[in-house]
Amino acid sequence: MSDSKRLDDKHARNREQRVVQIREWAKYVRTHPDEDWGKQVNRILNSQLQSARHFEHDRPDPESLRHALLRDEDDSGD
Amino acid sequence: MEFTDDEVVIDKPANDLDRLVLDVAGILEALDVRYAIVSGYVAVLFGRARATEDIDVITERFDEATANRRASELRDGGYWGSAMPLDEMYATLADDRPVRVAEKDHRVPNVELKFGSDQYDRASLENTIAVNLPDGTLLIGSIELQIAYKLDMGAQKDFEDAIYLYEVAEEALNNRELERFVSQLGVGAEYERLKATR
Repeated sequence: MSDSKRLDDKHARNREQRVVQIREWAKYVRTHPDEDWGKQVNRILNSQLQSARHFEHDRPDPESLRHALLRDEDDSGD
Repeated sequence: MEFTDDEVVIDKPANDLDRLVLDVAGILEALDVRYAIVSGYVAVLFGRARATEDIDVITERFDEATANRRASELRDGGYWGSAMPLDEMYATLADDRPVRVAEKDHRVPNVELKFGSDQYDRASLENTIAVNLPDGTLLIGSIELQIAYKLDMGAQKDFEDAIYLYEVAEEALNNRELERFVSQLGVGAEYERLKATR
């Protein structure tokens, strides 16, 4: 078996496992009080947002990226 | 979580995304602007545990005076346009580009606001569902359309959002409506793939 085939198979297995986990979580949400799952989701989401805020000013803003792309297009059109 | 025909009650504590969108949606409602929240945040609102920083909101078209009032209300509420000044709200939206609204001096999380531009945006605006949270009410596009649209987007995270919404709203879904959107968007194969994962 080639390395790329092995890697493809591994990715496919990972995707399948993720789908199983998503379905199990949806079942948990359906069968437990909102406050219970809500607190768990909020912990994940709020910590991810806090982490994103640490680096938010290092990112190029979408509008300047758009302008840069438009400029490149103009330049290449000469 | 309780579903009725055009309403969902979710009795969960608000997170930072919920608070942002409740505030921005409140300003839209105060100006009598119809809106619908769509895409990834809808899955998160219903409990999907995944990272997201953007909340996509479609609105009906409004005029420049309304845009200026809205920009002013947002500034007073402590928000700014994180990708362009809020003063350019109308010109940006009229140019079919989104306006990103975030807490002043921050870029995340943000509400990405855009004018509804195609039949699916209009369908979202015309068939909203009220989601009642302890801190307020949000209007989202129909769940059936969100599922079909997510299948059309094609990325793995979108497919997973579709699976999640399909599972969590299972008993409340209008399957005929879902299949109509699946057919319109030409995602029959993806829908079969979603059902086959069960």
